[in-house]
Amino acid sequence: MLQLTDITKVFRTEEVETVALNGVSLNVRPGEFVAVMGPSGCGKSTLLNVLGLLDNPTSGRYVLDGEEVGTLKERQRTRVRKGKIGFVFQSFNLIEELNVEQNVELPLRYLGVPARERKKRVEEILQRMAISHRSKHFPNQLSGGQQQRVAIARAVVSNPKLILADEPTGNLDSKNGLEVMQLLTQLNQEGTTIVMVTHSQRDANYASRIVEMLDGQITEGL
Amino acid sequence: MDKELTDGDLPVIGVCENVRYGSVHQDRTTDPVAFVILGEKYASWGDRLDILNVRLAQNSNKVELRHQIEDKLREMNGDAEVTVRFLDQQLENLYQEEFRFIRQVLVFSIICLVITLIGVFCLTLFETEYRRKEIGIRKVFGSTEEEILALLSRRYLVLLLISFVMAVPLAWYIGQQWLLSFAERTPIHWWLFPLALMAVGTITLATVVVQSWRTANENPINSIKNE
Ligand SMILES: Nc1ncnc2c1ncn2[C@@H]1O[C@H](COP(=O)(O)OP(=O)(O)O)[C@@H](O)[C@H]1O
Ligand SMILES: [Mg+2]
Repeated sequence: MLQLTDITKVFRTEEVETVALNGVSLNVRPGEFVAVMGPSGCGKSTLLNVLGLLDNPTSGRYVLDGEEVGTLKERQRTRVRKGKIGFVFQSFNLIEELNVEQNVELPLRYLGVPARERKKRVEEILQRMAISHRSKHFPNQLSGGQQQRVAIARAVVSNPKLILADEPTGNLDSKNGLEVMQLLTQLNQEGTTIVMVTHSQRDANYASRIVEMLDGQITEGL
Repeated sequence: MDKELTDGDLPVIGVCENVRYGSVHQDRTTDPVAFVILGEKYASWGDRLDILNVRLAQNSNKVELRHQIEDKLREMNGDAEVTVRFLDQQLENLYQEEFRFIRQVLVFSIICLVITLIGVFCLTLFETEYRRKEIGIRKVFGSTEEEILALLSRRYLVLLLISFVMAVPLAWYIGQQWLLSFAERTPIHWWLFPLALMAVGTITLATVVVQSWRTANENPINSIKNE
């Protein structure tokens, strides 16, 4: 599915230079469910952003689905990203001005899926996420657990091969967190590859492999 | 009539319809006018030959030529009063009111446009900042920069079209009313309106695009990061 080879990521500001990733190599096979763990600031989110083509690595090779993507321009990254990769964030990142339906529909719009087809697929996925009774609600009218279910619906509505989740249960209580983990597990069992960053050992146990990070390097689980 | 019937008759050598003279505010095309060529024979008619039209070559030094003409006329005419005026100046005097009015309209239009653009500028500045996170999210889920710019420009285009629809009949009516004060009228060409729309639209959109460019091109992870 994806291969990272000796990836580094350096953030430069005027005064400081932060090495967020320091020679990371990682291989994720199709259908895997990888949990990334490690202390705050060790580069987990940076790794996920590189994986998700939201940011280019400073150096190293990144092959996704047989295509070298580490050096792509923003325009091409957008092309690869949409349709192939779904994102779930700790803070949900729903658009406040759009209702549930419109939020979930977003990736399909940018893929150019016709309106009728969009409606059908949004309905299906909201049903699956058990949130279809709230399809006309706005994010601030929903609980955290419901918002994250909407966010997962948005991430998977375009049937991506890869789901990247950055602490998806971080803002949820244990009951809602459990629900989210069950949804992700279910998606993984249906064949979706998942890379998830988490702080919780319990959540990590849902994964088929645990990768430990420290100071921008992978220390375990390669 | 080539032959004089009585002494002093003038032969007609041509008829001309609708001679226009004077201000275009009045319609004088039905006034009877006769142009007479005073040859040698009528030199005794006296002082009527008191206007001489001189056409200057293009790009000639007008002030100098004017002096030369004045000198020449004085030389020829002796004591007679000589005034040399420029036709364009005379025309300008004739339409001073109009020129002033047009200048005022122009100045006010520019002021309106500038105020509008300042408004659009500030609104876009505010909007891109306010919607920064939304823009980031949209980009994460596959929106291109062009689609972001289109999203941000759309509402201004809609507003522009609404204003256009309201302004066209008004502008047409006022223009028509103004033109009614002239006997000679230029038509209000239909293409003036789309031309104005395109001009204003281009300036407005350029403002929006320049303003939102930075936000639209920003790496989305910066804008969606948790505070
Ligand atoms: N945009 C950025 N500019 C500068 N430094 C950054 C940026 N993003 C992350 N960092 C730094 O990179 C390191 C890793 O950050 P991050 O990947 O967010 O860690 P984690 O998600 O594991 O908590 C941190 O030291 C952080 O301060
Ligand atoms: Mg993080």
